[in-house]
Amino acid sequence: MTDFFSNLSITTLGFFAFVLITFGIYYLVPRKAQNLVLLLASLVFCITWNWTFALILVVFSIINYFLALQIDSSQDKARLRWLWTGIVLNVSALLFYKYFDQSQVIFFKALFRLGVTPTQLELSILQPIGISFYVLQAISYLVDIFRKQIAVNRNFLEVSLYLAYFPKLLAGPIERAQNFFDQLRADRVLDNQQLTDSLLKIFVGLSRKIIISDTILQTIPRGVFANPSAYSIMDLVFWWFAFGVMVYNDFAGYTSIARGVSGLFGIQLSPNFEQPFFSTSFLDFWNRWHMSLSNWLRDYIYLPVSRAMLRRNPSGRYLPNLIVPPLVTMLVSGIWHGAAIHFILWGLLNGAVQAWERVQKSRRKSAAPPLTKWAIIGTIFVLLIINVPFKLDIAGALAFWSGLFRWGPFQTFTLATTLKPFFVIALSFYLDVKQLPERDERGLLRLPKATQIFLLAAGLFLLFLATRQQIAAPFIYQEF
Amino acid sequence: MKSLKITAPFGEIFLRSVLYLLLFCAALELFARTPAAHIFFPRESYGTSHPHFEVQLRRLRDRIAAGEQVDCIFIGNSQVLYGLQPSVVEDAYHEQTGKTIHCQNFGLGGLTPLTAGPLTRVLIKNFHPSLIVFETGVLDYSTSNMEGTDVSIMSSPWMKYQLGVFSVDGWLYEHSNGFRLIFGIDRAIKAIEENDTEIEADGHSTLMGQTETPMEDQLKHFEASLEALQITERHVGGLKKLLSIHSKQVQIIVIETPTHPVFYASKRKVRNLYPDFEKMLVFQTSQAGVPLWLSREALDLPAETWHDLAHLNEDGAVLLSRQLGQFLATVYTPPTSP
Repeated sequence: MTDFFSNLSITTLGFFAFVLITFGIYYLVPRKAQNLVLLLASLVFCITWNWTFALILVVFSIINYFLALQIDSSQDKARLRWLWTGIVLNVSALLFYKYFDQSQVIFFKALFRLGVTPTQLELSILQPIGISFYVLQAISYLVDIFRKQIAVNRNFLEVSLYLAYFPKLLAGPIERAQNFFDQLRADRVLDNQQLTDSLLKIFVGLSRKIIISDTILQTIPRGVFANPSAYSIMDLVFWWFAFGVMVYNDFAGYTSIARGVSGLFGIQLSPNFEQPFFSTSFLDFWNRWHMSLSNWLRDYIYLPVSRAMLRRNPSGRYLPNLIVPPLVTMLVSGIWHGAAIHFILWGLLNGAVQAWERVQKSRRKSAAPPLTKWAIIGTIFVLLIINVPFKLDIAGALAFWSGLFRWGPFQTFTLATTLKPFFVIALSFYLDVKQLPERDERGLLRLPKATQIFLLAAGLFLLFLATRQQIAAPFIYQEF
Repeated sequence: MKSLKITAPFGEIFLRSVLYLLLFCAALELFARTPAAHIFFPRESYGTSHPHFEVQLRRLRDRIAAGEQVDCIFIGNSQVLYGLQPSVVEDAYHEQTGKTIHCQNFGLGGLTPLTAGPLTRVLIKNFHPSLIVFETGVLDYSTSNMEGTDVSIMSSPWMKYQLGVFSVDGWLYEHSNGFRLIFGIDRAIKAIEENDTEIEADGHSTLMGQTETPMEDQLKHFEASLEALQITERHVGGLKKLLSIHSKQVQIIVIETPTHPVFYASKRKVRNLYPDFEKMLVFQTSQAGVPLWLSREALDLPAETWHDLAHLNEDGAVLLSRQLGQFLATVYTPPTSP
């Protein structure tokens, strides 16, 4: 039983049992107590991973709650000082837990000298779940108060729940405070339509994660990335594309489940993906991929940098004004993903193509209608190439790129090897195409009833089969 | 409860999907129980990732389903799979005793003594043999071999179910032909991908001639195993569990795996460990009252009878199998003989 409820990842039966219990209590208690139920459930969810994570989250909430009050009650320079104190504290915590070798901290070193071992301190698991995501939410909350875009929230329970809400704790979506607080205060009604939407999101999310993403993960030959020189260009291109589809379905699947579960409690979380494989430009891609992070980066990095640049030279065609903001933004995004050179390279490359696109756009006199099909293919092709450092370190990425310029020996390009990935990639695109009209899972509800029944039955069957022989891999973005 | 406003009818599409799904599963199960299913889908799955286990189980089940009797099952690693030909053993036994026995090879690449005991119990429970021949060599006692095969077999829900650990998957693998068929398709695709060994109806597989891989490279291949050669308590414990099954109803016989002359001569560690290994084997089998055949001493298999450093080719397999048949004639009497 303890194992059943430990490390609750959101594709496990334990998680859904936990949701069901919370759901039952949530709709039994009076309206006023519902937020408290969600907060307690969120802390319990945290404890299933490690009790220290819950403690860290509570401390985090207290600090940010008081910082917000200080910012709100201060004026001018003091206000700015409190904001920077908040930003520095939040970023320091993120850096400490995510990037810092904790065994080098003097306090821990002293403990080691006293005979305490790193294993006893569980240093290796001290990175609290979801910290990368709730730190960004905390910063946005403080900045929004500083900018007077939102009023400070004096309800500690609501602020804590904003940071700790369990459906989004592991990997977002990164919510904006006002949107979340408004929903916490509004009456929440779960009717037939909302229940259908929520269950549909959970079903599509599970399908994306378990049927599509985990299947690709299991079929990708390890050597393709570890030793690309041994493979043909066809192998590399196919498996890299499959890897891209895998990452997309992993994260989009997670987001759908998180949104679906949250919908059961009457709280709508922001969308994170809008069929990114149909993007017609790089900027368009980042408006469709991990949208909650892209929006955060836009509002709290890109726009402030842009404004600062425009203050120096107000020309919209001045080259640094076009180049620097996307480069800085994507560099921050790279560092957020991980403190490794390859993530920085990944960020710079993505920043560079966005900057190039912005320059091209500024030089174009009239907006020529884009050739959509070719624009989509070209965008995805370039993005796949420049996203190699997302997965591989610098040496690995260079080896992979050089592999794309050699014919090489065919290794895996056989029907037996590619049958399953082909099928699930096609399934991923089918889902995307069917979601296009509504821009999310509800697009599937437009299908004829018979098709819906067939898809649901087939999906349930495939989910059952997929969960028999494989253990769900952890969500990729949960690692960040 | 005011905030919950679910009204009937709700979930019509879901209920109809589940209904159709159940009908589909029932149809699949019916089809899987017909002979046609066996023709079109020759592979079955029992939920292991081991390349031989499921084929061997299918071979054994097919023999029993065809009304054949299996008195004797050979278990061990790939040296058993390639090195023991049941038909040759049966003939040699018949020549010596005038009695007929029916043998099946259940060699599984990489099997160690750790899994031999539980596997034997499961085979006895399902197929009721009166003799289990376990072949073991010094290479089985390498700590580097301790996890792979054993984990892939022991983690199978079917094996666990057979050993008394209930799970839905285990139950389905045991009782649902459709379930085994569906995953068998997956196994069949993997088999093409991995270029699986062809296993005959008696569970034996043949290696022809000699490998072209140079001896030096073959030795290198074994280096990790050789470095980790060590007779651990876990290994001995595994062997003891197997030997404890020995009874009047089911006899256990242990035979030592023959060793390539170059392999034995070229590796000091193997030479040094052999006396300890043989001493342990003699001690454990004598304690359990289990007959032991030290084939390395009894046989002098020339280099041309080996396909590679570890495995006998067809000629070597015939030689070893004939000798085994003759040995069995001295220690084993089938409960009912024609």
